[in-house]
Amino acid sequence: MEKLPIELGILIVKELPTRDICRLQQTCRAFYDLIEDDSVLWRERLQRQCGADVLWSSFFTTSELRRACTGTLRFKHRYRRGGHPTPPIARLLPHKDEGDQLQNDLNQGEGFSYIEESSNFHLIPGGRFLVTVDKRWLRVWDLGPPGSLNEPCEVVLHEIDCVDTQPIIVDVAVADTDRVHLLIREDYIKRPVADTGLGRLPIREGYIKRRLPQSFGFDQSEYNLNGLSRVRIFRRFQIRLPDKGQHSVEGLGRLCVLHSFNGIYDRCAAQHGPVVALGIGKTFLLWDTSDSLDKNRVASATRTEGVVFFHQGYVFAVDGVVDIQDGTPDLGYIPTPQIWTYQQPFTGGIFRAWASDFMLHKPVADEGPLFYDIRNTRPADETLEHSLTSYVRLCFCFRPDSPSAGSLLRTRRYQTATQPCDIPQLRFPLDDGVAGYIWYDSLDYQHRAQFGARQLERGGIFVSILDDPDSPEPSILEDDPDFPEPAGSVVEGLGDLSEMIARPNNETRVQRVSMCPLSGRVIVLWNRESKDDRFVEIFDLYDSLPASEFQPRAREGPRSVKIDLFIILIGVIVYIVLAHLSLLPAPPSTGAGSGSSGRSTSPSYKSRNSTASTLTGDCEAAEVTWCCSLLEFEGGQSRAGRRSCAVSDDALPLLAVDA
Amino acid sequence: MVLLLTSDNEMFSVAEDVIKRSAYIKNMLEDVGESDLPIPLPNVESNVLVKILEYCEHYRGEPLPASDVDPAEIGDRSLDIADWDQKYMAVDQEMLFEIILAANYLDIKSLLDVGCKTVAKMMKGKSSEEIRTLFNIANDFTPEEEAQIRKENAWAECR
Repeated sequence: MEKLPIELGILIVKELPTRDICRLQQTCRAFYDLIEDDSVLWRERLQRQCGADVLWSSFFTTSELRRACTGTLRFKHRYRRGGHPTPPIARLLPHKDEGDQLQNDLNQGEGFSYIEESSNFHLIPGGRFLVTVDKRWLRVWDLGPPGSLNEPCEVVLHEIDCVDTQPIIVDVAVADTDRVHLLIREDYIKRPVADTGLGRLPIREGYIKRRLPQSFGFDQSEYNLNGLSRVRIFRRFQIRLPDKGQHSVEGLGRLCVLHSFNGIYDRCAAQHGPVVALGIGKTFLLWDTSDSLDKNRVASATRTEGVVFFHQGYVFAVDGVVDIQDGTPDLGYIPTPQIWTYQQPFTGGIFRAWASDFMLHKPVADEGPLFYDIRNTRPADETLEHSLTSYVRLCFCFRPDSPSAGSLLRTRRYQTATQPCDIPQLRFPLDDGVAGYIWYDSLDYQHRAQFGARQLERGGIFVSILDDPDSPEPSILEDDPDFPEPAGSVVEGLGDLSEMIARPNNETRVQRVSMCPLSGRVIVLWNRESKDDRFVEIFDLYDSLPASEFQPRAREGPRSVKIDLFIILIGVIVYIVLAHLSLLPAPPSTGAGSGSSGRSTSPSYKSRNSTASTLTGDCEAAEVTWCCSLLEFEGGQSRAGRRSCAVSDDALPLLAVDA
Repeated sequence: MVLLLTSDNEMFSVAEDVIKRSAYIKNMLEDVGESDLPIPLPNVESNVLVKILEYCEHYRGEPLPASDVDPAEIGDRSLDIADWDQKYMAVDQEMLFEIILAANYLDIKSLLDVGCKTVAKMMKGKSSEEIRTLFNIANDFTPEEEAQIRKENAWAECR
């Protein structure tokens, strides 16, 4: 063995699973140094683990890379059956949302109903940076490398100045090693309306005319504006976060869409390179922001509502309703997308579909097939008593070389073991056929009303580990007309390994979660219902303190921010002093101390909502047909763009691109 | 035919299409052209070369792998080894490492891969102590260092 030169040793190491690498590292100094110092080894491994394009590690040090690679293993070790994991230490995101506060006061004064479904923060894949947006500022926070407990540090401050509108982050995509594309949507603050409880009364015609942004140069007479018209403005930014040098923000363009769709807009958008895919009502838009600003291009196609994501040059849309046609108006900027549709009917009850590219089964190989997870829940019986206790997992099997041969496969049914629960919000790969699931109580107000107060007893975030979630391999069922239950239908309870991340006191609830599986970082937006205020916490799932150092979190009510900061400060000071006196064991690189006492549920950040990386489409029907549609397009070559254009399509009365 | 001279001064005469699996020899033949002089292989002993030639002979006629394939290609890599390769690699440890060294020197990528996979397979699933015993690795950590590393890597021990 010792005869082998180092480069051959590394070749062998590269063949090993991560766990075995770490065991080999413990055998002797030579292997320890060889493995510890090899950033290429860990970077490659990370690429292999993540497979897709979410890699955001160019400025990770070798030890950070190693941490990222081994994170899911540490996670599994912590949360293994029979273990008694300590909840991760939370950090608070500093409250900086002056404009939002102002607006909130204004709204309360005038009886405005504030927009509920907003999403004002998004973790950039990789977990190190967090983007937040309020009415005035776009901020990027450096949360430190995974596992660190640094105070979040503001690295980008860019004025966006949404005077009359509420900006909402729709999507964040990594473009390359140091560039991020941010897509925000500006929603107009709603008019004072009679209290419907939902705030969804039609906007008056005169209002919409007043609100048409001047900079787009609309001639209002050209458009058939009525009380159902809605304005949505999308803005795209490129944020540069180089390892060294200046961080910067650059606008990539604005798109104004007038439409009459009244429904869920959130998260029906995805970005890939210069192209943005937007789902608005039954219309699907492709917006090309390449080249210069005046060459923005848009194409549209009819689709159904639902989830959109990009992968390998294709757009995937996952829907709950079947109505996919192609041949809808081509605006002449991007060639009409080609659409393939795959569908499989089966009975369902309450139906919540979601999918995301986080759920790629496997690293992507050029020749495919790829398997995408799609899930839906349905009640165990017709009474709502036991609703939402199970969900079905479908795989969409896709062959890039032969798109029309794709198929939907129903693979497994999962049952939540001990409590009615919403669908797991995120699935992230662990090691060797093991997956972690994260979920939280995300029932919105409508659903809460529907399910009654019983559902409100929960409100924390839960994590489950599912051993061997993918075996047996999904078998091809496309020829089976009845699309039967997969073998061994109820496979395994997703154990109630709850309380792991956080179990707040009775009145705080999770609103949204953003997570990066790579780093194990989770951002949580809590809402304290009695005061209707919100705050954002940062958790690192993959790292823990030894049990002896953990103290249960304070569960008392609100305290002032000043006191909290003071306590955190004291905690930090005490920790530093102790560390210097060598009274503490070597910290498990998370840094210990500050969390236990400083952690409380005081308000810190007045964000509206957050976005998770998954998407949900809701509908209720006895018969649900699953369908997954796919769009192919070639951006790039087409005529020079016009500044605006109108389409006489009911679903999309008007559309414009702004330079 | 190509003449090869091993480090222990044995001369081998090999068909060109067999030995071309070695990128090293292939390039040399292309650079030097036809020659009656033997190619010296000062890093390879005759018993190892016999073994290497067995491999090349077995895969004679199969297309050579493209030279510009990135070994770290994206996708699943598994420790699956073809049956014949497994039997071929059923040798003692010393020979196994000699084969890896020679495959590296002669630049026979597929053989190097199989060799590394074989070693990796031997290590897989074993504890650090078992790996030490298996490969006769001396533990040169101090007890304190070892305890520290063990503590940091406690997660790696669980299944």
